[in-house]
Amino acid sequence: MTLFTAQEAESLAQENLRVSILFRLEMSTSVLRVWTGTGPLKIASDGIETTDLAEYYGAGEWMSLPVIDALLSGTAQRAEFTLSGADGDSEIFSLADADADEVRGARLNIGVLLFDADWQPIFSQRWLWEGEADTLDISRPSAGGRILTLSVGSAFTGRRRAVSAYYSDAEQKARSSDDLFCERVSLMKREQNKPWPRV
Amino acid sequence: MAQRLPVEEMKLIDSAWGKVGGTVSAGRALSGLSQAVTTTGGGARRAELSFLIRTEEDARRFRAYLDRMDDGSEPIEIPYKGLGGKVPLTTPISTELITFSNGATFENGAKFQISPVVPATIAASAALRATQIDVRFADPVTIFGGELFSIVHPTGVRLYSIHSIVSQSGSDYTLKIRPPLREAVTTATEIDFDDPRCLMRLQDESFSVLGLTGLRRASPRLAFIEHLEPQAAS
Repeated sequence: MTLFTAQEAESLAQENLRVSILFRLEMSTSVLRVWTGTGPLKIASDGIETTDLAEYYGAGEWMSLPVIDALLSGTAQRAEFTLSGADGDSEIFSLADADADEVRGARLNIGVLLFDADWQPIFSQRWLWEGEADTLDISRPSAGGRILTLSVGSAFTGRRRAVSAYYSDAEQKARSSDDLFCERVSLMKREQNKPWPRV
Repeated sequence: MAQRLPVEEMKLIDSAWGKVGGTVSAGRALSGLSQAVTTTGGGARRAELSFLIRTEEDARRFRAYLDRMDDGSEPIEIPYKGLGGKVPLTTPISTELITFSNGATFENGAKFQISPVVPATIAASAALRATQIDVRFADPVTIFGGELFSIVHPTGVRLYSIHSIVSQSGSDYTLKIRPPLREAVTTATEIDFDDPRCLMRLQDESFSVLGLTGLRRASPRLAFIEHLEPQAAS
């Protein structure tokens, strides 16, 4: 099943695009909904957004989104999302007031919404990326306001890097004491040419 | 309810109105396609206003309103003053100065001056973020596009402009507007073409200072941005 229909893909191939990004952070007791446009936006429910006509807060210029890579045999990505606001922005501060435990592990969905020349949605939202929130840092710039930086990992991001493992007899025995699978590894030499058939 | 900035009393001398937003280039793809991308959803109103400070009263009034705006944490209504905002009546109302009905004037000899009023209402309900609305004017008007108007929504007054005319039938117009409606509107909602204004707040990078030249004069400039923080309906 493709993410976009042929007609929708054709809309995305225009020279001038009006696109907005949806940011949905589902914490244990509340959901933070933000979009990159201006003013409130309501979207219909789907498999990700379970509340019909849920209202998204327009973060506009206050939101900074990272480049999100498609993971293809690469290093698992950790993305950082930045929300900045003046002291009166209660929607952004609702995240700052959340407990660390509430934020850690929260599911984050990033979606896209495409508009026509009159800023009306061409098709319903498409959710492109899902991650798991990890840490939330709050800083106060000298100019005032607050900056929230949310670190998010993908499903492939581990909080701890796994210790490198080797196919040695000792390591395999540590995993499974009666396993002889790696018993002859020490007899193998690297870059050894093995003529075949035997002459 | 937010206060209104008394720009006339504060001696407004310059204004620059626009929208915050922008279009970025996404570069050129291997296919040769070069795309420009806009993510603002229509943009937010921004205004830069300059004032003239020459008297003690000017300075005190300016400083008082700076304090009331509280570095941008308190929203305030900013009226649009300048060219191109008004809707001209097809049959202009005379602006000749007039007296009381018995011929009397004010003590200093001043007379009344009529301000043209252009009553208009929403003719059909429109949803949040709609960019096309049906408007009914009480008197014949001539619309060109670019006229400004305000709608007092439950959470504050918003400033819109006429993008273009879709259709017209007598005094009923279907208009495209910008930015998209900040809230849904119902039939018969009043539209204010006479006093266009917007709920805004002092922008972060504005210097909330009154810099006096020679301790006697100043021309401070303040930047405002549309206030879109949800407020309690009033």
